[in-house]
Amino acid sequence: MHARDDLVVDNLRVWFGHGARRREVIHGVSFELPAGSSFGLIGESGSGKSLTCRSILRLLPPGGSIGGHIRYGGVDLAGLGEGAMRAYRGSRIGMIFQDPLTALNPVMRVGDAIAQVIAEHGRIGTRPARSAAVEMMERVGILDAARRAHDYPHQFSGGMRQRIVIAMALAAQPTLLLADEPTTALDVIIQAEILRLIDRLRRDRGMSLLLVSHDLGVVASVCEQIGVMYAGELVEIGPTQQLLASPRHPYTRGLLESLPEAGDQGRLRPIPGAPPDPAARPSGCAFAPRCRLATEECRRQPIPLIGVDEHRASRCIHVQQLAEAVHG
Amino acid sequence: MVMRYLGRRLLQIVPVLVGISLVVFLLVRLIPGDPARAMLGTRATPELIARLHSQFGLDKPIWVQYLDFLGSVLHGDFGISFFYQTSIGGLVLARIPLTVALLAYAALMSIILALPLALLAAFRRGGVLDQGIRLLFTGSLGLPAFWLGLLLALILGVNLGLFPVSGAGSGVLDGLWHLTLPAFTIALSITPIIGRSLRSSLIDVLRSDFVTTGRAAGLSRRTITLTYVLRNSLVPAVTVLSVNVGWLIGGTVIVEQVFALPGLGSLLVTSITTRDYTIIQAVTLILALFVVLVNLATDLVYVALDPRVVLR
Amino acid sequence: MAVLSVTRSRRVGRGITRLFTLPGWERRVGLAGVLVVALLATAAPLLTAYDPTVLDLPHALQPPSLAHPFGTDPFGRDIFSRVLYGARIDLQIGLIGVAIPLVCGTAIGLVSGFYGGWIDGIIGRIIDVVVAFPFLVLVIAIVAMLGPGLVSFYIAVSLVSWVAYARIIRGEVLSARGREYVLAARMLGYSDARIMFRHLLPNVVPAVFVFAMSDIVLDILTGASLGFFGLGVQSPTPEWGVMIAEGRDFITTAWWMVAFPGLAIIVVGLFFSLVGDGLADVIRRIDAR
Repeated sequence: MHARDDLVVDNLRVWFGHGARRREVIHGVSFELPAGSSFGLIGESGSGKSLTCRSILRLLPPGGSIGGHIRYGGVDLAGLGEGAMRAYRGSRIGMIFQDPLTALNPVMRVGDAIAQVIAEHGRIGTRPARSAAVEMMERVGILDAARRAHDYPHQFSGGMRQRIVIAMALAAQPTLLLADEPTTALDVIIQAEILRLIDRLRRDRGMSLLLVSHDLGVVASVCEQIGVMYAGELVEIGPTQQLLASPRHPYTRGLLESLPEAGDQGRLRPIPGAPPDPAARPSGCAFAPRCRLATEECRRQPIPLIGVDEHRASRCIHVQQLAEAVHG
Repeated sequence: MVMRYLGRRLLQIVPVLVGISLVVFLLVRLIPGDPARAMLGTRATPELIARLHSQFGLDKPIWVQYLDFLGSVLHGDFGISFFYQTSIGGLVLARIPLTVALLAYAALMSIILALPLALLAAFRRGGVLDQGIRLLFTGSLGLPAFWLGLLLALILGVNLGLFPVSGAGSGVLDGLWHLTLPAFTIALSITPIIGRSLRSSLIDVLRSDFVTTGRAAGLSRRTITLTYVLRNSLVPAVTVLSVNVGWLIGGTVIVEQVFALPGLGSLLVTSITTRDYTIIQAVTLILALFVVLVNLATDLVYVALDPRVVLR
Repeated sequence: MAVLSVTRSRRVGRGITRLFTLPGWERRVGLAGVLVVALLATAAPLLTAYDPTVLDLPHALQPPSLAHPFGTDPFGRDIFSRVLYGARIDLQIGLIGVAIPLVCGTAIGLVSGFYGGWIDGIIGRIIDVVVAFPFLVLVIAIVAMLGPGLVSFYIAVSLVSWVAYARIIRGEVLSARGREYVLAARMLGYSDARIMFRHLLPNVVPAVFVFAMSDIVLDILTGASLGFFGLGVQSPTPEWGVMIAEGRDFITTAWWMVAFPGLAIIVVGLFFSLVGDGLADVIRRIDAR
């Protein structure tokens, strides 16, 4: 039984193109995000993590279509029409994006932009909406908010702009926040600040959070669960600490090993090879061409997600081997 | 701050203005043979030719002539028209309001025609409607304005009697009524150019990140179209009109002839038959000046429209 | 490296031919249309028995019929044959009117972009000045001075149109200047002229072809407008603009005099515009690769 605002993604598939040129790019992604918790989706560029996130609000690039189910609050979002979908955007589910420099309407004052969201969703007048907008700006940590509400986006720094983006996303009090690479375009110090802000806001409001990033460190600091994506599917999923301590998929292990550590002698160990071209996926495990543990069986047919225990799963038939490698 | 910016822009324009005056001055040099003889035509007698020579200073060295020309132009003195026997400056001045009104009217109409089409095409990008509109634009690039004018005058003016087909009317409302068909003709002939440019700009705006942010925030289609899309399309719209003002002016020249409007364009064309070369020079100069002014005005309009434009 | 740059220019040369053979309905239809029109114009004497300039007063002002598909004018001349013969003039106007500015403008743009410095400065200023004049106005003014006629038209258009081509080429050259093949050629000590014409030119020219197509349409319209004003080709030579002017006084009684020449202009304009659009698409696709 699912609680009210749990997010349940069930066999999500995404296609691009029409007719003969139609290609599946997300192949049956499933995971659960219980209300009030946080889930991190991690992977390289092209792994499909952004697309998965965007499909939830149906904000795909032109030519995209989805299949499967996305249940939120008991309703299957995947089956909704555009009009019904719009009712969810902003008011039930909010979303923030990667590039704060281009994410805001350059010709609108930021206070007005936020107020507009509040006014439309809350059906309240401009005056109360404007003061609510200023409040929102204060809550995301913008100093002198009342005065700065009259400024335009280009008058703010990158970090400040991202705070405004967050303010806009949360203005209508959604219960789930989708964050697509929110810190990628920011420098390291600001990254930490924004992550702290997101985490704090989440806790204060009891919101669920889906955080997408290619940076394991970012996801690890904020999320309770992690899903690792590769070539359009989830290859491992589990609670953050456990996953980081003992990864059960060669790709995850490769990711962890490739992270440069402070004490290292300076040798980087990237994963050899590159992700497959979506048009030319191998028939078996998508990671097999780059995997040290790959066997004939791996290449023969697609590997399903194998449950490791109650909270963990991995798309690798050598799951046991990996467990032993860590503990043995 | 605005004054300083204006001052600087004006300084930048000076070389162009000098160049324009030079070109206009040199125009008369193109006349094969003696310009005085050409002007007088059959009335040419040695005495008259000599008189014109001294009147126009054609016997002085060329750079002196240019300086004289420049000097008088700067004083607004374009000389006396041979044909009209009146000050050219006055003639030209009297006709400016009509041409300017026609230009503004036509520009407005072309935006009214082009913007909805461009919006439709941009929203339904790649679809049948978009392709159809693009084809429409491509096909109408070759519409001759004078032909259009004649047909519109025939169908809407004569046959249906909706609009007058000649003259400028009297008073503001009557004047506008008289200018409607001419303005519509010009608008139709430049709508394809404007429309294509607008469509391309609108597609860029629709694809931009901030529109996605707006959608993600759950704003209604109407709100996004108005405050996100259209508001950001004003600058491209102003740009495309400003860039194409030369074509607008060309259109007025044609249309003033077709609809017998007493503007600068018809003055230009009739002066060719009367071989009144000084009028031709004056009108050409004024129209070029107008283009320069419009470009300058556009820069100022950008400041009002786009908060990112900083007057440095 | 020198081999690379020479091969590249050869490859681009082949690319230019491919521009005309790759799929894309717009370009194909446009090209086919243009060829058909050109054929019709050349074959005019074969297609019509009527001489476009001979008077035939008994058959004046007849509406379209089988004998006269486009009707006749007040002098009894067959409009259909006049439109066909007119195509020769108007196509010529479009093509020659573009060829001269294209060549001159390209050369000037090449030099301006390649050398930069004060040459570029001066040429840039000249361009700024010419561009300040509305095209039709300046052309009319020049033709007025030189005296009406086709030659004056060509001179006027050449004097004014070259700027657009110079700008495009200059822009392309400026962006190509830093590319490897240019640097390689310079390193090898190739003469400036050689670099400009054998290496830069093949790579920058495609951009200009698209514009040239719309310029052809523009020239035909301008030529027809001048004809309409009586400043271009003179009667009795058939030219579409002149024909429309002749039909103006009879528009209420003999609409065919105005309608058909106008349609001819539109149709030819449509075909050339299609070619231009199609070319633009192909270039975009080649660039994307």
